[in-house]
Amino acid sequence: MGWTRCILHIDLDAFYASVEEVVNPALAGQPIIVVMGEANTQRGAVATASYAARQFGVHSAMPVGQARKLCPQAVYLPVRHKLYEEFSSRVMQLLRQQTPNIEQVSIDEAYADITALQEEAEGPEIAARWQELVKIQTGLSASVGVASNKIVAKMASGHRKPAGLTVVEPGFEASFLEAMPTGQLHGVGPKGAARLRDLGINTIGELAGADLDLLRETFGPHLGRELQDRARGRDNSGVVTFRETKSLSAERTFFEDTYDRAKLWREIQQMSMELADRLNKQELLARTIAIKLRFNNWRTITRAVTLASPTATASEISTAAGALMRMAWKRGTPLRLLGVRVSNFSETSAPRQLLFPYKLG
Amino acid sequence: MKVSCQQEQLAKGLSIVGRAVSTKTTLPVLNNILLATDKEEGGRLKLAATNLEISITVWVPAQVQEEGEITVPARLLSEFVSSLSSQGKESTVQLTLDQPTLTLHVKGGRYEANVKGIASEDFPSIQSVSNSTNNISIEAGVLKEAINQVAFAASTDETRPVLTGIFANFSDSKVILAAADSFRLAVRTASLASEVSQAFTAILPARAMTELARIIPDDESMVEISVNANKSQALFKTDTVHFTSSLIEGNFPNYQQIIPKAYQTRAVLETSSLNQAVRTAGIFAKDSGGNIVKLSIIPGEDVTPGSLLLTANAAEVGDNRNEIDASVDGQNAQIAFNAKYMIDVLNVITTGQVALELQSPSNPGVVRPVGKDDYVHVIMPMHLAPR
Repeated sequence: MGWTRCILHIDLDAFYASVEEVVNPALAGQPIIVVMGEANTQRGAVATASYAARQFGVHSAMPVGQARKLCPQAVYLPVRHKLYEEFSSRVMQLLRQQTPNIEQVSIDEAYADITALQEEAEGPEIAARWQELVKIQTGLSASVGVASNKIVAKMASGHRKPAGLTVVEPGFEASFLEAMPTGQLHGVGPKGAARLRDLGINTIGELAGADLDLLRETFGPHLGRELQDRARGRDNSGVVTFRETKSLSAERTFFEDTYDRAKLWREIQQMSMELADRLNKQELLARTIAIKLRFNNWRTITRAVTLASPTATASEISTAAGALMRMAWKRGTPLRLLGVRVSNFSETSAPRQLLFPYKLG
Repeated sequence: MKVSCQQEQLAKGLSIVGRAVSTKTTLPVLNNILLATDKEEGGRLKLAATNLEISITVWVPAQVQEEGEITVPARLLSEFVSSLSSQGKESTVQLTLDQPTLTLHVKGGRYEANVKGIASEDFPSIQSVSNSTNNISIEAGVLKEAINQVAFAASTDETRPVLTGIFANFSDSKVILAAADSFRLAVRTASLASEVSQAFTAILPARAMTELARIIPDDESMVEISVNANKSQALFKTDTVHFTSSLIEGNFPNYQQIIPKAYQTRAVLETSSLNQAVRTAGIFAKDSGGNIVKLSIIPGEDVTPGSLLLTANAAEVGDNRNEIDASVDGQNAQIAFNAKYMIDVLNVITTGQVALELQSPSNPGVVRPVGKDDYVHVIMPMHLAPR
């Protein structure tokens, strides 16, 4: 007899570094560090460190300078987004061939609802089979969590890495989570963990047993309840196989604050091109264009404009973003992050208002 | 300050200057109206307000017993003075300022109130447009109509400030007003009451002009227009109102290239019939996503007159077909427009007949009053995907 619900969380191990290893087998087993920003300088940050590099204490988001001190012998590589996207979509495709009930949550993570597949084999067995399949077909190793819901499956996949397979039998969700620190619970960040600590709550088990009124008072009625549910290993959310695209965005984080106008404008143009490309692929037109600016004091602002007529043209997106930029950004102000977002979609085949053939203003 | 004036006149003056009061400002004094006595013309009360983009000054006949000036909250004073109409039609309002406390005592009949003010020195001085090189006169009714015929076509997109304005080109004894956004254009030529000594252009904020059109009378009285030398401000003067507006800097695009020079099909229609038919189609178009009205022009044959067929579809709910007579020159034509844009222009056409000139389903359509060549309106059509 199968479980009432059986959910897998599949998490690719040290994804960027593993892909680099697959495309260049000579690197196998060596410490590999994939760097965001400039790989050859002290600037930039670690995007992914292979497990061999992690042994030296290198972890993601660490400044490269620090990583070089800890692990000077590692192979430092720049991020190659296109390549990783390609591998990611191969893995996702492979999973979708097994069941359509796949929810991709990021480039290297997905949930699968395999409740219906239990007729053929038991959940843990399917998980092991898929893990093997991914390894053979793509060369990548994955850690998998098997549980009766998404939250616990995700916590389980993170439990043993790399190439781990962790099964949490129905009824054992709470006891599986019990001893873990609250900071590890999905949705509890460092700030949330600190607030819980102030309440004398350090482990997920303590959170599960805490006074609900106290939690509600601290986190609000809704979140308070939800935190406790999660801590008890309860989660009813479904695997969402199709998510309507509401907006598309591109961002650039500058490792050195930038106030170079020409560079910012180039980035806007490039991001607009990326977005236009993605809009065209999805046969969408966007009417609202927004920019996001983060200043060097972390103040973040967004500014948006709604166009007269929807567009999927890079030049129209960049013109709008440029105009917003002129209104929101004072020349010479250093920026840490610049982003462009398009939303308010309509389909390409929908009727649309034509514009004057000449450029006005 | 001690002054009295007629309730009706004061209420009207307050409602006019109220249009320039800031609604969202961090400067409290901009929520206020300036009241100041003025001994000219046998005694007047000056009312003024500004939101720094536009300023309005109005003079109300008054009996000045003691000179003075103060600013008071616009809404409070205006609403209270309006309520005083209950004290009889010809009732008088007395305004007395208690200088030490900056409190204005307002009394009408058996109603009275005290309103706390802010000293007039804190009120921004309203610049008078000085050393203007041009002084132009135009009939108020003409200016009002001309503004209403173009202002709605201006863009509301603040990222392109120039298009939020009305381009005004003064030369000889006429002014051409033009406004456009990315998909419609309105151009009106109006006669001036005087010759312009030296031709010049300015871009007037459409929003400010709409306010101006609201407050000037619809008659043959004169409005005097002057623009200051550095083209930053324009002043519009009537006998009792001074209206100043900041001007928009920049170059207005060459809109003439947008106006089609020829047509394939021209249909002449009754303005009111077309307006009614589009409005009716609009009821269905509203739910279509895009507010689309499709137009089909069919030329007449020997004895049968031509016609215009308007259709609209409300997705999965229903559809609508309206046919009206048309006198057609040229071939069959089909095009689709946003119903709102058609209604907007039909609302400002003053002639009994209107002409619709088309080239192709993807080229701009032209709307003109029949029998008057002082107005032209251009609308870009909607693109419908082939089925």
